[in-house]
Amino acid sequence: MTKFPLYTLLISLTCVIVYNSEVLSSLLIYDRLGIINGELWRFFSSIFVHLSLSHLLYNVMAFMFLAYFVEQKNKYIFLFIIIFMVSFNGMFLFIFEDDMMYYGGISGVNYAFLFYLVLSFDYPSRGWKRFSQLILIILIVKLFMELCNCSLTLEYLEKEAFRVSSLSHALGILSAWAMYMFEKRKG
Amino acid sequence: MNKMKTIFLSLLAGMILTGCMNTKINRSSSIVEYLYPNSKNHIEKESIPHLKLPLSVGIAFVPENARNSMTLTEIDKTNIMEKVSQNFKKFTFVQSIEVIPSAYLSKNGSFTNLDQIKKMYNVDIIALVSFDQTQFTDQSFLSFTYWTIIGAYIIPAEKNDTHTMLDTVVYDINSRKMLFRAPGMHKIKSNATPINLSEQLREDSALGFEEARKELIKNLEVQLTTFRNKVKNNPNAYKVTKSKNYTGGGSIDSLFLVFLMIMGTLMVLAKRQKNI
Repeated sequence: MTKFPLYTLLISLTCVIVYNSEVLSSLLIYDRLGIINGELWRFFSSIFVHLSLSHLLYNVMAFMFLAYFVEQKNKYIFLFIIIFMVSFNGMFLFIFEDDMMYYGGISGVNYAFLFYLVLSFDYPSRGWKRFSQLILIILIVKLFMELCNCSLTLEYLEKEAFRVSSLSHALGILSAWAMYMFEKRKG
Repeated sequence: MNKMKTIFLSLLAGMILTGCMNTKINRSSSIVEYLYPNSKNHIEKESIPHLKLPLSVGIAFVPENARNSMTLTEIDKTNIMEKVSQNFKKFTFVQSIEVIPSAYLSKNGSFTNLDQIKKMYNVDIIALVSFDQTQFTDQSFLSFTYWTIIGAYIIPAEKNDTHTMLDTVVYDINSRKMLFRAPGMHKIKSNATPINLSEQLREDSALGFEEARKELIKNLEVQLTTFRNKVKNNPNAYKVTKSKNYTGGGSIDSLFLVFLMIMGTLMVLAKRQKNI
């Protein structure tokens, strides 16, 4: 039975509202100097902020698609991944990307959901499973290379006026893998 | 009796004369003289500053007035600038800060000189430091003891006042617009004997600059934060562009999209199989 995707819609709507309000965007964006000056909520709120219309559209569309399936599959896993990313994304950026002043975007969550779905999906055939796992490995290698060289190996959808942070994508993959392992152990 | 009278009158005259003696030394450099040397009424045409974040900043002392004897050596100036620049560096919106030696700033150089510095050092913003130090020396009542010769060696009857001001004005070179300023002031009082007067004045001068520099750094922090908020609240008054590395975003690339399409196809297939 299909459940109403309440959380998916709520989060997507939040992203759209924040994007359309300059006050909310500047209040919630990850701002390194603001955090140093005590605005600690910015650690947790940056995933709801988007920096351009194309950034918002691609991220929120992918989020709605992926989040819908994860929420249908397991509401608690959905919430865990969101809470994990909200809690640690800003902190990781603060520690490891000290030259980045501003950050916004939900793509880390998208990576987490995509990886979780790939790992836990009930594949119709073995061939499909192997194929998905192969792309998953390519994606991890690509991310690893980006993190090591600090440069992007593939073109992004839009030429944005910001640097794409692979660290939040890696964090998303980590949370998905942790969730998958936890679920597997629990049986 | 007459002899006693003469000695008393001589001493009194000496006390009055020495009591009246005072000296004033002033050393300064002026930003207005440096930037607008030809006409004091001239107003530079300003445009909207375009700040490219993170900022490349230069810091330099403006040339001193011709009448000054040497107050600050190049080493002193570099030390002050290094310490001020360390304070700039802790702000993440400042990418680099170049300490520019005095030799690169020509007297009455104006914005033409700043344009040359901009090209040489690749800086967009310049912090110009100027100073004004005045030292007063007065003789106190005890200065009559100088008549004994020994008194001039042991009685510190020279009263010194040293007033120091360091002023930093930050300009956007392209738009010729002043962004903000931060002063640092200090006042020292000291005593000296006539024999060590010049040494004491030198010490006071150095201490005055050091304390004024500390005060300047405190004010600079406040002014930088105020300026940052001003830029945020007045988007029409300042044009701000951020370099690509300055802002980060979580975005989707082509491989992610391919993966997403595969997952979509799989889910549709799985659903169809279930329905069959």
